Amino acid sequence: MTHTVLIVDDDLRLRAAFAQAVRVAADLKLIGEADDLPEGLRLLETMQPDVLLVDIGLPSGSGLALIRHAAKRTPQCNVMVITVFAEEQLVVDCIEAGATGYLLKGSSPQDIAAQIRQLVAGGSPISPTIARRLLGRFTNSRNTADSPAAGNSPTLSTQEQAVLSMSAKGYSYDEIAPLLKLSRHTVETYVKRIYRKLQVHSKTAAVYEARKLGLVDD
Amino acid sequence: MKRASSVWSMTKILRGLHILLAVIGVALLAILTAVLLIPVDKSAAATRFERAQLCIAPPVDTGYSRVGLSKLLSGGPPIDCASSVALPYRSQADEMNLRRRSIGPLGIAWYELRYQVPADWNPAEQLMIYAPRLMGIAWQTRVNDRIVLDNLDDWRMTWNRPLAVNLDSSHFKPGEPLKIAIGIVFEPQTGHALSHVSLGTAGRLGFRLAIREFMQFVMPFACSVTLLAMAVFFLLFWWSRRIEQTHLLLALSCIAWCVFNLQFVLPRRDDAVLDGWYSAVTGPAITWVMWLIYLFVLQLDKRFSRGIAIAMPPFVLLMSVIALPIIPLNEYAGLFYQGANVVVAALVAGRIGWMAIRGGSLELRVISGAMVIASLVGFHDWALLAQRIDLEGIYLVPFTSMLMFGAFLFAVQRRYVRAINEHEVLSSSLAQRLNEREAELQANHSRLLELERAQTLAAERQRLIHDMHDGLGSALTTSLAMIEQGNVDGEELKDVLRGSVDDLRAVIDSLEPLDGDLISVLATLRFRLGKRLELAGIALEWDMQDLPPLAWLGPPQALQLMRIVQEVLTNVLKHARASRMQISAHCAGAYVEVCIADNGRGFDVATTSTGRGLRHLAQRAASLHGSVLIESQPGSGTTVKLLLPVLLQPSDRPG
Repeated sequence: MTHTVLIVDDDLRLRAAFAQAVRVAADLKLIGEADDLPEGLRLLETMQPDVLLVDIGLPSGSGLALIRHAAKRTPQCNVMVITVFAEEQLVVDCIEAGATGYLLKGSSPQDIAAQIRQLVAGGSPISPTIARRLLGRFTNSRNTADSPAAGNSPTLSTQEQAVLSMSAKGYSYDEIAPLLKLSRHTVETYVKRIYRKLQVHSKTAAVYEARKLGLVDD
Repeated sequence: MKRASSVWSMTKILRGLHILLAVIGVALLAILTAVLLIPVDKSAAATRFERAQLCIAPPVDTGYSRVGLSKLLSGGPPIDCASSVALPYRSQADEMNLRRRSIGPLGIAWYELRYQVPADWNPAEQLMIYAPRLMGIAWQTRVNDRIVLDNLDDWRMTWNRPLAVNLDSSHFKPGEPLKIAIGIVFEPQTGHALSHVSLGTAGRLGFRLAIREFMQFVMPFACSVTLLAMAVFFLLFWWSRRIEQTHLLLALSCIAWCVFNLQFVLPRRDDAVLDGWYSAVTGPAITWVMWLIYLFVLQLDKRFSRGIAIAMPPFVLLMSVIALPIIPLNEYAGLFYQGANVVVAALVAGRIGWMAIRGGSLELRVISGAMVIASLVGFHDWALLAQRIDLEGIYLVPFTSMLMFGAFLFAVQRRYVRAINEHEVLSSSLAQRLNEREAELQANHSRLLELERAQTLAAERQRLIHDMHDGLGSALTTSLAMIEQGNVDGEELKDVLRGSVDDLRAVIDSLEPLDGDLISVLATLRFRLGKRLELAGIALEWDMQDLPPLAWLGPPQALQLMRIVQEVLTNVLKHARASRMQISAHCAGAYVEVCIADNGRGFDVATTSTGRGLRHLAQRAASLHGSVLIESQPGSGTTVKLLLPVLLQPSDRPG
């Protein structure tokens, strides 16, 4: 079974490298390339890809807008963010917007294909710093549990919590899995679930904030 | 705030008391005016005797006592006396042979009145004989030669008690004539006097009597009680703030004036010795009052008169000593005594009035006005005592106590209100100054913070520039030179560029907020370099124990730590040819130990070629106040231990 991939990136050389990596993989099919937001949106609507690779720093509008759009209109599409160094805040912003994976520029073609496969299969990557940030994010919201939004906002299960905190300590999925008596794949899906929860969580928080400001009615 | 509010309520109480006193004073004045201006005693409500038959019994040496007086009066009026006098009547000084003796022969003046009881007199109704005032030692009233009433039970109060005798049907019959004889025992040196005499129904004259008694001793009694209450009030005031003597002086003068008023109020003892001591206390009290008032005024206005200030204590002392019953003069002292008091009171009032006129405060003027009135009243009372004015008048000095203390309360209240106002102004300006100071401090603080931030920023910028220059900059320059010189070694160039990318990542990663979490630093490093180890075929064993947060671990320190570990890893990758590697971190007492061990070929620690790299590591570790331990032997792998302190001593805080 092949997975369709759409790449939106304004850097031609990098886009070519990613496109090449996808083309080489037998189970991946490149169905479109775009270098700006409007074209990306258009292709996303018409192609309905399985995977969207998007650069955060698009010229004609933020990549975040594209991610949000994709998460809303094509929820079956896995959004992957392309970053240089996995800039933590940006990546966390993208996860909040709906991304579930990220790719480092300079990854090898095999690596790129493998990561795309992993994502489609339901797993997401994580870096210690992102794990640390997410831990902080969910702990903070638990501390302010008396806020009305807390009831609606999702919380982490013990297992998810454990995955996050071990990731933050630098343990790899391969090391975490036996410690939690899980398979590697389950750990990966946990991370993806955590990302989804962060997305919901940030939505709830946004609604709560907006309600407090009187922008939305109950 | 609490204190201020209690002072406020105190002022309110004072003000309330002041108003109350003012009302009482006005009411008193109204009554006084009514009594003085409307001659109730002279109204035509009853038969009023304008004339009387007077006869003088010769002086007899009997002594001042109830028994002696009784014996003296038992003789009754002489039969052959007949000189008609007009009432009110006052004996002339030369009428008697004046002799200055303390215990003198006493004379009796008998006043005779004749009255025809109307035939239609209702026998059930009492007939009253009423005389507002008489002067003498004691009196007796006889009707038709029968003794009806005398005042021997309270003869020492003769000077200030009206004569009132009720006659019933046992004494008279309607239509029959009545012979009324009033005998007054007197001292030849002071003489005797009788006001007009009225006869009428008890109902009509009783009202006049009641008013008279009200003015002559009920009101003085009320004043005394009020004075005592005020004394307690001022004493309490003084007790709570003893540094302020004003209230003590006021309390003492209230007490003194109360003692003085006792003369008008209390019945007196027949016993001459006891009564002497009683007079010795009550008599000079008014002198003490004057002195205390003067001292009080000095508290209000410091421009005191040295003469009065020096003369007052001896004067008060003299007056007190004269009044003692052991001084034989005291029987004659009365008039001189009151006269001296009046003169001194006038002097003091004049002095204070002069001060008040010459730039005194309102309260001083009010007080001096009250004192002038008090002096005039004192003169009036003295004249009454000295029989120089209408003897039907009323002694007014007890009433002036209310006037005086009204004025004093006014002064005290003004002083309090002023003090509170000043306090308020002061505290509000204090609060304002405090606010200004606070704002100043705040401004300083934010300036300092701004400065600090700017300094931190500058230092951080400096550090970043330095890092870029040394690491990335030199690496890029080297690569550029290699390419330009054409001797491009692909592998070498890759190493240099990879090294510079690693360093750039490390710089960026070091800026991540850490909260002193050393494991985060290691974890990030693993995330960056793990792939490379994997590609090199090195299996990594990762073992991170919980560590205490390291307060000293800021971005520069994190970067330094990354560089140390990175260098060790690079060395392993380049030289060790290892297949397994272990990176662990745990806490060992006051130190955190980061251990990087490999199963590579190892090396001889002592060799010079590796020595330089090791020194470099040691220097980096030392900049973190830590140390590096390297254990290695050719063929048996390498272990690098990095020891870092959990807590920094204040002295070795990194600059």
